[in-house]
Amino acid sequence: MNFRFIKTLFLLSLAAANWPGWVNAQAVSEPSAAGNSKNFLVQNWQTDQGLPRNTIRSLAQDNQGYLWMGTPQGLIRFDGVRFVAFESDASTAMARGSVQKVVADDSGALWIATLRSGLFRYLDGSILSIAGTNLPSNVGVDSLAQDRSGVVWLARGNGTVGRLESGSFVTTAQLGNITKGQMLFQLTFDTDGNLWFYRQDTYGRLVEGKRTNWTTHAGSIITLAAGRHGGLWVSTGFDLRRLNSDPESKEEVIVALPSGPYGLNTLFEDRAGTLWLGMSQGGGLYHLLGRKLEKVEGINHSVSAILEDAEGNLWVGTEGAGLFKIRPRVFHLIGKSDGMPTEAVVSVSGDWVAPKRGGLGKVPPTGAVEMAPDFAQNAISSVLEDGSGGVWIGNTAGNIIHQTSDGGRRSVRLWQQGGPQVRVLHRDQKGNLWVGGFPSGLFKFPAGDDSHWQDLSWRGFTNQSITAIAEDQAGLVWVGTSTGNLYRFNGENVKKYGAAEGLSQFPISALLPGTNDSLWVGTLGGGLGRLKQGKVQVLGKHTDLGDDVITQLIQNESGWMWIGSSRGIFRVRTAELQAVLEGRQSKANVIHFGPADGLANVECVAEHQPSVCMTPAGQLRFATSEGVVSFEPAAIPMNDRPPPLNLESVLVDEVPVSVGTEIKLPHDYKKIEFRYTAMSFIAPEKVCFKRYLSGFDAGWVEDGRSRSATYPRLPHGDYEFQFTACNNDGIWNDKPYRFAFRVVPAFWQTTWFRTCALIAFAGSVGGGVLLAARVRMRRKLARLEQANALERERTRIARDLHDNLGARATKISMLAAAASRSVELSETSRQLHDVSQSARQLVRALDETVWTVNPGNDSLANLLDYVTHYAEEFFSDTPVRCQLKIPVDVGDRPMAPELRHSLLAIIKESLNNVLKHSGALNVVVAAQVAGSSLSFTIRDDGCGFSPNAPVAGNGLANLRARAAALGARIEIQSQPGQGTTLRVEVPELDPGFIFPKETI
Amino acid sequence: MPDKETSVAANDIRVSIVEDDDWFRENLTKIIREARGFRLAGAHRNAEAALEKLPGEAADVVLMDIALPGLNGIECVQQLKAKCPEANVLMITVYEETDKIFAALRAGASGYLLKRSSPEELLEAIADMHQGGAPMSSSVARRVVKFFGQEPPPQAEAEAVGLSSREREILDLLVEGRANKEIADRLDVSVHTVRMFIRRIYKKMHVHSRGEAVARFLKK
Repeated sequence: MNFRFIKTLFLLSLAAANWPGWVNAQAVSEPSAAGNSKNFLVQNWQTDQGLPRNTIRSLAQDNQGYLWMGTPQGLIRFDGVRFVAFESDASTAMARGSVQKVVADDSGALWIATLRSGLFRYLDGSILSIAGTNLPSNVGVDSLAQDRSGVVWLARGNGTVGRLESGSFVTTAQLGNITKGQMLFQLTFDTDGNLWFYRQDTYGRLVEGKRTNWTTHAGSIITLAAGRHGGLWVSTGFDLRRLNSDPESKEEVIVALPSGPYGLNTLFEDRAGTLWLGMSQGGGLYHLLGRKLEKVEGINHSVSAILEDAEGNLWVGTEGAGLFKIRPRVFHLIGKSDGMPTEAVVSVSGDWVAPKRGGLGKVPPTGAVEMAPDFAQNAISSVLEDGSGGVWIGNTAGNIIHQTSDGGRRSVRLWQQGGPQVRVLHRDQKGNLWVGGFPSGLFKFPAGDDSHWQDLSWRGFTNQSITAIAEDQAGLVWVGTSTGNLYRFNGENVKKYGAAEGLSQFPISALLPGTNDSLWVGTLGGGLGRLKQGKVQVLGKHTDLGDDVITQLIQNESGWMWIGSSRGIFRVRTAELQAVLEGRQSKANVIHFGPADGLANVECVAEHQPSVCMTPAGQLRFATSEGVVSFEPAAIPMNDRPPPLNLESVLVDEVPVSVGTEIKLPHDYKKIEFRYTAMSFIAPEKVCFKRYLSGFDAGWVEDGRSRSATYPRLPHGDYEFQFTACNNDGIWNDKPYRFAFRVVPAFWQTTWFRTCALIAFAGSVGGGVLLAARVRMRRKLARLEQANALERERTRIARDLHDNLGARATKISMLAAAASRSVELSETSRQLHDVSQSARQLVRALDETVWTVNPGNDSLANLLDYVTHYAEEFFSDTPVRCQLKIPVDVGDRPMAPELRHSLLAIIKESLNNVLKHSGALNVVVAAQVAGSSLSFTIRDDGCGFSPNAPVAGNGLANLRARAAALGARIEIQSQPGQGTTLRVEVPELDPGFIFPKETI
Repeated sequence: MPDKETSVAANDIRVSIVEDDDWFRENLTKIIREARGFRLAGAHRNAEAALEKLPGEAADVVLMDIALPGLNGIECVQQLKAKCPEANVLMITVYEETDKIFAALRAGASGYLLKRSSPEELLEAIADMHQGGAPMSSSVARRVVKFFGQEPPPQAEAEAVGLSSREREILDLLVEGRANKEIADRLDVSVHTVRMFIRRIYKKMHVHSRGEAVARFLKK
């Protein structure tokens, strides 16, 4: 019974593995950023990024959430991460037909129109030709459209229009005869449900099989699109017109099309009411803004398809340039291209900005950053707007400069030459200006007085620099320092918080007053914490912020906390963080803004403050390594759509099984793998998964971005695998995908068998079976033994050394060390210490012998790894600093064991010379692989020697002899006082040597 | 949870041990018991027992023998990390076998130590790991470079799993054998930051290896 079952499973697997007649190519996508559009984020996938084809004629999203592309070669499916091509071999009709249009219907099917081979339907993994007497497959279908009741309408190459009823084509109208070379008809429905058709210079509406509203623009190429306003967009190829839903209305010209050699390919109005124009002849993509057309930067190709997905991403298919995704840009980077001298910014306050290498900039509402000319060379370290149009400036020379709104300046030098740098500026509610210094120093200017100041440095700030200053609602000023201490200033009273209150030793980089007398504390390396009632609680490591370098904290009115870190910008609800700290919630939903938001490689910085601010207009600005990041918090869309889930395949011992039915696994399968996905396209890299296998996992396992799970062999029984996913904003799909399966017991696991086995065991049959098995095993071993006898022997020696000697010698070293500590007699103790040291050296020597003997190491890569390891360990705990210049990737190159061994011996000998004889402080060990030659260079800065003078004990003769035996060249360059350089070169790595297979 | 995290400074470091050799295990147990500032949370002779007990022991650092009978130490780390992603695992091994060590690091261990190390070195390594240290030798760094270079991650994971330019920079300096202090000076950051970046590299390697490594061991 069990055998039959295994067979069934196998057949099922075969059936599932082969899509009938279709190639199933998979590729993983990696979009590239295209263009530098100010208003849009444009991502592009081409074949280099995993897209199977670069020409896309049509786009659709099915009811499972997959994005589909029609190409001249077939179909491509995309889940945001992985492309799957559904292409036929050359004999199949769909490929020959060239896909023109793909439409998804409500049942989950796709309808595919081809230019030459008629209509096809895709459902549940198979593609069927929809051909019949009424719909010959040799007539092309140029256009498809679906009406509101789900009926599919076709425009065919012979000029007829009709609909599909139970699989057959019912002609509704003859639009006109199409002669060779003429363009075919296109179809579209408007929002009122009217079917429009268009071709070349004419368009019209079909009402009960009759053509109405027949309009002709001689010499034009007509393109239509349904308008959200209820009417229609019409392009003549020269201009863009609007037609309202009144059938008697007249076209209204909105704007002329861009001039140039290109025409219009496609029109599309998105749900927000923006009209998009895809141009032909490399004209790219435009959108309509009022009555003006604006080009989307970064797309300079012919656009043939435009689609808005369920999450509001705009997708663009092109001729030859692949797929584009377009989203509005929310985060704006103000950097070098905006007139700043460097990308990196150290301080930002209101419209004022301090770029990293000096200068004072002002960010205007539009246009380039204005740099103050007379500050160009000054190393400004902090800027702080003064609230009345002027700015306070701190610099690295310890000066405070106040520039008023009329441009007048006053400069105060806080220290004499060589004093501390200004690092932090803060103005409290009373108008006092606080100044924090590096490496130490704290000062206060009373309100309205920029020439007298109070030195507060004596209050315990001598050994630490000031890294953050903030003020709470009660008007108390908080000062954080580089050693992780926090001070509260209440008038003349200063209270210190440190390790005893739970603060880490990490520098405090950001302070944000919270509600109910709490204070959020960000540190460089110790994550985010909250001080409340005299105690600091730190968020756990699993909150995404735990071990992070926090650089900025700021909150906006709507209850979001914005967090700058070395990984970019994060957003989280302050209330959620509180709930986590108070144990009311296990995890906070922390959203990271990264590459998908146009913030690739953005590292926030906090060495100088203020480094974050909110402008009067409500924009947040962060100082970062890539410029000022400026954005409108309210403009960031929230994706509340949980991602649809799909289990794509189940593999048992790497063989796919059918997902459609309940599966039964044999007792001796080795592993089961689930591959699944979730369709969310805004930022697929932020889609996270969790999974649960009942009977195996103790609870839900959060599995990050992994889209597969593998489980080992499970005991017999019933199981259910579940998974779910969250979208880019952390919204989880609360209906997990469930998949049940059963592991059947082996025959010997059944009660029936166990009873029988007991009886059988009484007899002596078992013995015979055992004997036969043993004989078979011996024969097999003998065969193995003959093959690669030498390698096996080496392996065995290595394994014996490894397993037996190593562990025992290690024990000796530990025993002796322990004994040496417990013995008081100094002589015995010393001797035991020596035993311990010797035993350690023995293990190290064994380590090396095992490495040499083991045939698994017979490669160049292994030699280089070992030299790295050896040199590192050899010079550790010595005054010599060793720098390694050893290439990492040298490929799989075999190397004979003798050569490997001798080269290592030469290197060891020369490293020994460096340590024992040269007195060097620095040594460089370099390896170079050029063609088939390999060379090592060992250069030290030690005492050197005269090449002519004989030097005893440095083993140079020995080195030369070893090198000669290898056929290697050795050169030694040295002069007294100028260090020594040894170079050994093997001209030809043995080409005839074959890689051994066995390893220990 | 927050209580534990905030009050660590005052508390002993809790250490659990997974080692099949009775003599070694008892020796390690003794060292931990006798050292000030350390406390033994548990000792197990095989992976199966360890996987059952470790989640309840709340150890700060787990010492794990790389060559356990049955489920080996690498597989044990893998399964342990799936259950307790925050576990800090220090592998212990007789030899510097980079392949095995690297497999353990991929599976989620954060460092390794040779069995021949002295008790002082052992305690120092545990304490360092507990304080967020993440040692990475040049030979391991070489493997990491190869790992990330040869197998570009699926792009869904690129952001989480691909290395940032800063991480690459640090990795390149580690390959050259530079010490953390030297790297910190060169990049104009603190040693803390360097350690944090190294930990993050480990974490990314771990995330990248999840699932796939299980498959690899099952294939054997």
